[in-house]
Amino acid sequence: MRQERKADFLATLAQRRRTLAKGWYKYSRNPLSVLGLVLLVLIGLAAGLAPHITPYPAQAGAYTDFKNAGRPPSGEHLFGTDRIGRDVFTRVIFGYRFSLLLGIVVLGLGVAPGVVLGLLAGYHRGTWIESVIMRVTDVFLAVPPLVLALAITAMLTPNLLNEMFAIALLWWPWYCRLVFAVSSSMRSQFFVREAELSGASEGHILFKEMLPNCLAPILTKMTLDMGIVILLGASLSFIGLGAQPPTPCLGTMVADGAKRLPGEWWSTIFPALAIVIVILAFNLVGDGLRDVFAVEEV
Amino acid sequence: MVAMFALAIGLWCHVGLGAVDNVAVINGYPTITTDPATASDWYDTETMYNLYSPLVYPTPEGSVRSHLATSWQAVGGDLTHWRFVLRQGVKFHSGYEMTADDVAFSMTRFIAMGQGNSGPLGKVTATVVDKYTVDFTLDKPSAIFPESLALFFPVEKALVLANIKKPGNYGDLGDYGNDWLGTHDAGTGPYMLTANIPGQRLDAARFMDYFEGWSNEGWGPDEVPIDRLVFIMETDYTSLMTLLKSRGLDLEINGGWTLPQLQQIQANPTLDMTSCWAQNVTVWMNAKVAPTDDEHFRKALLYAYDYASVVGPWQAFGNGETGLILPNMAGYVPIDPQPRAQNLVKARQELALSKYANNLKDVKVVYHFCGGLDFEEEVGLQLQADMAKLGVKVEVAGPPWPQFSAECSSAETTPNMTIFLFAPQAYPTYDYYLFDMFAKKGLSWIFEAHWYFDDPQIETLLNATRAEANPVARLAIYTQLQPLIAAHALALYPYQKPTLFAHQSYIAGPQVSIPFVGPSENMHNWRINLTLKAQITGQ
Amino acid sequence: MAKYIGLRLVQSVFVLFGLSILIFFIARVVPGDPARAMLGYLATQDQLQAVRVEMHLDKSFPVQYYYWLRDLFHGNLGRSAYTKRPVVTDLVQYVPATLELILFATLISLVIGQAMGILAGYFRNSWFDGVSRLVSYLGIATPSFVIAILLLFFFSQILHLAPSVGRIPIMTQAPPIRTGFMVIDSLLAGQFSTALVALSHLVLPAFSLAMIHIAQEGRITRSSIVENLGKDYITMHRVHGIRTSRLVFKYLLRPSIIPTVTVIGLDFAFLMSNAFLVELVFMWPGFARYALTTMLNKDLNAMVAVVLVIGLTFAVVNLLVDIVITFLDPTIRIQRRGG
Repeated sequence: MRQERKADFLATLAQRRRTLAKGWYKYSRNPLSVLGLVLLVLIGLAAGLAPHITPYPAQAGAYTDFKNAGRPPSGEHLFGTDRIGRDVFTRVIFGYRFSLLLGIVVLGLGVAPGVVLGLLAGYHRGTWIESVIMRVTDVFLAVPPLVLALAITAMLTPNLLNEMFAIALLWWPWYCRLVFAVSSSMRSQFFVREAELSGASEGHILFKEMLPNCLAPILTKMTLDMGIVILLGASLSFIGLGAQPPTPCLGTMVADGAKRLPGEWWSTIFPALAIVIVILAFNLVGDGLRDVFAVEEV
Repeated sequence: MVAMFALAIGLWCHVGLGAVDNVAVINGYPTITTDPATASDWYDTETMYNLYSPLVYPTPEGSVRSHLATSWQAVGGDLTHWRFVLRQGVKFHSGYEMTADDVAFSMTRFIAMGQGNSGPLGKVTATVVDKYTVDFTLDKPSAIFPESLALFFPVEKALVLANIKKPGNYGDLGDYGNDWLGTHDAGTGPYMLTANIPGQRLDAARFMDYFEGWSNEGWGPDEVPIDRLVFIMETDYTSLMTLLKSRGLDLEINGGWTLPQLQQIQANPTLDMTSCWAQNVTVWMNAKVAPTDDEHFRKALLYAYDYASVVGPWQAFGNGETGLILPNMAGYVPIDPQPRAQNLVKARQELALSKYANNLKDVKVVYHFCGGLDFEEEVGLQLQADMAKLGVKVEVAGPPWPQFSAECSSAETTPNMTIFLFAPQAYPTYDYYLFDMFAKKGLSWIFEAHWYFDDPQIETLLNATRAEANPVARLAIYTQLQPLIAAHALALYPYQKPTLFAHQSYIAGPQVSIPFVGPSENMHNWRINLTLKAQITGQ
Repeated sequence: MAKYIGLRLVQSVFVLFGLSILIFFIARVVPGDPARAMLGYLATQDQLQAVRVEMHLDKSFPVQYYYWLRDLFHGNLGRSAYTKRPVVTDLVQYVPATLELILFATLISLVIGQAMGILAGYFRNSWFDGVSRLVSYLGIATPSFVIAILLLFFFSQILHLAPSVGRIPIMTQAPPIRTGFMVIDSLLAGQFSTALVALSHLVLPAFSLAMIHIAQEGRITRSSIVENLGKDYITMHRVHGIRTSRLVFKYLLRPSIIPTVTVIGLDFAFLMSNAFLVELVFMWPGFARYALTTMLNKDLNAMVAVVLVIGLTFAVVNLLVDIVITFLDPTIRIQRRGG
């Protein structure tokens, strides 16, 4: 008995490895996708190793040097100094940590419930389940993000964690809608009917049959959203919600420095470029993944 | 395509405007109301001083002089009964003369509506004695009653009564004309309201029969009174800078420029800067919450703070030091630390004396400021860096205003340190900086220092200031009070932050600098040089 | 079809009620003292208490909601604690300003986005395609207010043109208000130069808002065109000799209209509350800015009214989008009727 199971397990593993290898082969055909992956890895490494690779790691924390505030980029300060006198380059690298964390946590917290609800709504299309879910989604979509964020972070204290929670709460309706649109069109297709007829459970149909076909638009939207989440964090930080000083958060740095354009352009442009690069990387990876999945679509 | 074409034509229209207008475009903070009975904060005061006239007028030294009232005295000796004699021949914008009837009506209205600046006056009853004399009876004796009338602006009785809307909150009197006064004025001020979009734009035109007249004494030959005012209310300083440079904006009275912008303005030969009043930057310390409940700990904070750092670059624009009251006010007493610099040695000494000396690692000082304000954030970050040198953790956070102001409504919820910039906006100003903030019966909310200490001697003295009719004696008490209060180390005063009015060089500012909100923005004291304007804009 | 619209309308009403209750609750939970916001810093405790009683703040939540609902049915949305005017007056003043801006932005994003997408898709992998992809990424990544500031800077400092802030220049006489749309009102009043100037003032802020949509629509259109170019029916049409332009507009664009319309619809309503940073930079006296101000000042009546307007916009736009999509895609129409 155990021998059989072990053989099954090894066979599944081998199959998975083959699928991965096939996927990678397809993915690596597109040089841009590989570039995206490389960028992401580099950024991840930079964020992880931040204290070791930045020239002034202390300046990402409690540090002030007003005499040196607002210095343009130079040999000493690659990206110049901000209005408190802190090195912008160091803060950008550290900023990757917090901004990436923000994006990943928000999307992690927000996408899952949205997808599940969207699948449910799509599968039970035409029934009261769908109506309730979609109307609740409408209500959440209609509340201005600011109000919801204000309310949530007000009931808790304003810091990075609660900001992530608040934005995640804003995000799920969009995924619910998206998945609903895709899954409701899948509802009447043959493969779903077949699964039903052969007695598959609802869970199986939702997650094993319908979900894989939604993955492409979900992934695409997620990569687009990474940037929007980071920027939404910036708007919230603008009015005092979110990561508190002196935490370096890319979006916050952009919002802060925007008041100093065009004179002290470096305090906004460099963090903004950093955001663009990470979004670019995510987009390239997302496009590559979509190409991989596209052929596997049923 | 169409859009680009439209852009081109639009630009041509801009360039085409050649005539030199006698108009000043002024940017202030959004005003909320133009009804003097509901006007409530410093930005409303600025508008009030243009459209209306107060009963008495602030002087540079911090007291008041005659304006609509020529003289006043306490009748009966118990300071509850005041008689005011009014100036004759003062015209309302409608052309009618102001009499005691209007003033009495205005006071009754002010108190009945119970909003804005009427709170501190208590219940005042106004009676007409004769055509130019009016009596005010207070419910509590107050020696400073006359000074508090610098925020009382008489309105034209007949005009207001003719424009009441019913139904309203005041029975027969409907809404007391509150709605109508939002878009019209019934005042005696140097300018008349011609159009008003609340929170957005206010237009005013010069009132030729203004009772103080429009004398040219002390002004240059080409400097003439401004005929039209346009108040806009924008808060984004990057756009305001663009507008200022292109001469779309003539004068900016909110003073929210960043340091680099101020340096740009200073360097520009066609732009000028005038500084009239300054804000007292105050960091309250909550003496009911650990660790700031220990007096030595608070003193340590005072000595640990590096006064020169945040403030350094700002020194070029105005004097730094400040205390319980502003340095320009008579009787100012400098407070510790003297000299005004960081003194880490003394800070360590004080920390050692405090009850947290042995577990500094475990204490946390929470510093909150209103989110979005850069200067307040910088002070906090500086404090954080300074205290880190002593091994004390300071947590800096900037919640949004609704949350911040809610925190500050009780002693238990107020964070260890909160920062506010107090402008000299309430009259009398000594009373505002001392009684209102340190007396048991003072204002609460963000003026809450008196929640945090108990000192019978100080309380007695503060009450005495309100009972002392003689202004000289009162000043002596104010002088005596300051070091006594400062000994409790309830606040850190990093800076006296000047409010800098940036303006075109063809607009000239007040001859006499009255360092309070209201008189400085009274455009009766400003002039425009049309020849210079034609030169500069023509170039 | 009519039955479907009717059903959706009923559902929308329920949604709006649910929304009003939610925001009513949130508005009272969010910290801040509305009485203080109304009266100012010198108010005494007595005065504050009097206002609280007047605003029914001392009563329980359901009672407050009942008062508000009753007033709503009389067309009274209460008085704004911040502007001291009826909230309805504020809305009438500010909503058209933002609507005009968003409509113009949507128009720009449609035209430019589609054009860019078509050309990029058709000339796939050419230099144009590469450039437009780059522009797309930049457009998505740059915050609209940074674009706004950069545009303002570019036009005023580099090109030395007068900055077009506000809806019309400060010293220009505004036309009498009929629709609330500056361009239309100027035309109606015969002030053609004002209309042109108003249009020129719309360009920069609308473009800042449109940038991200241009990017998104460009991508959607491009991928849809790429996807369909290879399909059989296109090849058939070509073999039959149909002109390229007709091919593009009649056959290639169709499949991409649905996601485009959906995205535009959602974003339109989203912009109602999120255009505030652009409105701030361009000194645009609009609804989004007003919404932000009321929220930061805990202006209860205005907050609830603002959310209702946004909710209404979402509901109306969603309904319109769904109707349009049903017309465009016959399969959905069939599904709705039978499914």
